[in-house]
Amino acid sequence: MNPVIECRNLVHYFGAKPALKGVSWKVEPGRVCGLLGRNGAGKTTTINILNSFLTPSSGQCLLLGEDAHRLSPAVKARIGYLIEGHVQYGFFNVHQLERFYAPFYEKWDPAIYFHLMDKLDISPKQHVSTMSCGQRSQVALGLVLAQNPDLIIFDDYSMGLDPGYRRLFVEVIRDYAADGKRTILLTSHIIQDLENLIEDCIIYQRGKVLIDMEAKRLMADFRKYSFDTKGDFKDFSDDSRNLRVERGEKRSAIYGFLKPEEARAELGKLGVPAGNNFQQESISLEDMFIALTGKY
Amino acid sequence: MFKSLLYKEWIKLRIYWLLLFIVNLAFCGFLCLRLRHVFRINEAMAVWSNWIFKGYLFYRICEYVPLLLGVVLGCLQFFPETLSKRLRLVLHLPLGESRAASIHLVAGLLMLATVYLPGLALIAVSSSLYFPPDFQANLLLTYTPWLLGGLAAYLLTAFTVLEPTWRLRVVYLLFSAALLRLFFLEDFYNSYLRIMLSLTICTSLLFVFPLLSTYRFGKGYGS
Repeated sequence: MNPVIECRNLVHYFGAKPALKGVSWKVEPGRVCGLLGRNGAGKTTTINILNSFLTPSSGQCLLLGEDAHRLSPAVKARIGYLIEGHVQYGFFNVHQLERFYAPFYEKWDPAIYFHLMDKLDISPKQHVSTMSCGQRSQVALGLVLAQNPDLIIFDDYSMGLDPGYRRLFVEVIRDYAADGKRTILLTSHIIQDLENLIEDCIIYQRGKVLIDMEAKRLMADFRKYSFDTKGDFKDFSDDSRNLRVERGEKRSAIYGFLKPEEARAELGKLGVPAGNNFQQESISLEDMFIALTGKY
Repeated sequence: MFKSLLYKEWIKLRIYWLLLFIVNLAFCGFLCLRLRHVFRINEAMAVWSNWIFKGYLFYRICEYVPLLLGVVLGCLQFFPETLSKRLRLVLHLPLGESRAASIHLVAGLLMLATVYLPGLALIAVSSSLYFPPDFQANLLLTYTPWLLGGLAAYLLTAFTVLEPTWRLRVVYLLFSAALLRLFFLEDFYNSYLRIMLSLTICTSLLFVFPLLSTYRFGKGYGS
């Protein structure tokens, strides 16, 4: 089966500054993929290129088999896109929004949209401009889901949302993707929300792909080992091997795709005394993300 | 899809359209009252001598009204689309970008036409009380370049507002000001008669300009 999204050697510059340095990745059909990275890593640039809102300096993106910059209306109808900030038309009310969008999509299902509005107790006559950020996000989500798209791209769905609305968003997306027929690509800075949602994980670092693997495998293979701090040594990181050593006052840690003996060996090579109480610790996706991309 | 986009623009602009309609009608109504007043306090022969034989354009006060209305409508319609890059909602719809932008322009032009035409009809009816039919034709033909200027102003405003880079917006603004000046060089009745067709064709060709800005906006120029 052909990938639903494919980026081939994307390169992009803003002036002289490189934003993407030869990025390549794919999303297979039916997968929920998280595109993660720190601010300025290149995620939004990639999303804009995918949606043909930006022409890359070189490289190509394919969506559902077509060049992202020459999508036919038929393919566009199969792609749902939630714009960063949940942008929508403030002058419309809930009912008018549905009336505007419905004729564009053959597979439009108003029940999905109005069910979500009922759940949030939003009146059909309420204007988008009078809604809270959370309500507007659900309106935007409802409109995307009602299209019944084969591919949905969420560009920073969590922006401005409180924990309740973020949880609602994640639950709705999870239920929607459960049948395995939809492909979802999402970006977010709230990593802990994505831990039980995404199946594939792509992490950007300074315009390059640092990690591209199944989320389960990442959670299983990327480990943290902590040990008592002994002696004087500095923090160390090696992006090419996804290796990081952090020195703490009392406890230090080593992160990487390492088994315990491999971790000890790496510390030995770096001249870092392993110290006492060398043990593996459980680690969240957010901890992994910070370990991989750094704090600064 | 065509109806949906027209519906969207109507909901967005209907209150502004009403205000512009009232403003235009008020100006035209003022002109009609002025006409009535002039003929009441002066002898008709003296008025005719001044206005017809000496070519005084008595409704010059309305000259720039269509242009101002065109600029205002263009700003009200397209400026909000550039905030938060809301135009992306339309560009993402399952239809061609040029087609989507064209429908927006058609909506704006239809709104402008429905603002201009009642005012023009009011002037025509009012002037028919005081002038013979052949002079009325002169009046309307003299007014036409100003209406075309209004439509051109709307298209050039869209062209400028939708351009994503501020540097080119300034260039487009200067270009538009120079081009629009061509619609307002009349010194006497029917001075544009021979070039009316060319002027109309030029105005029509301006329809392409906002499509270029939309294309540039869609491709992220200036991002």
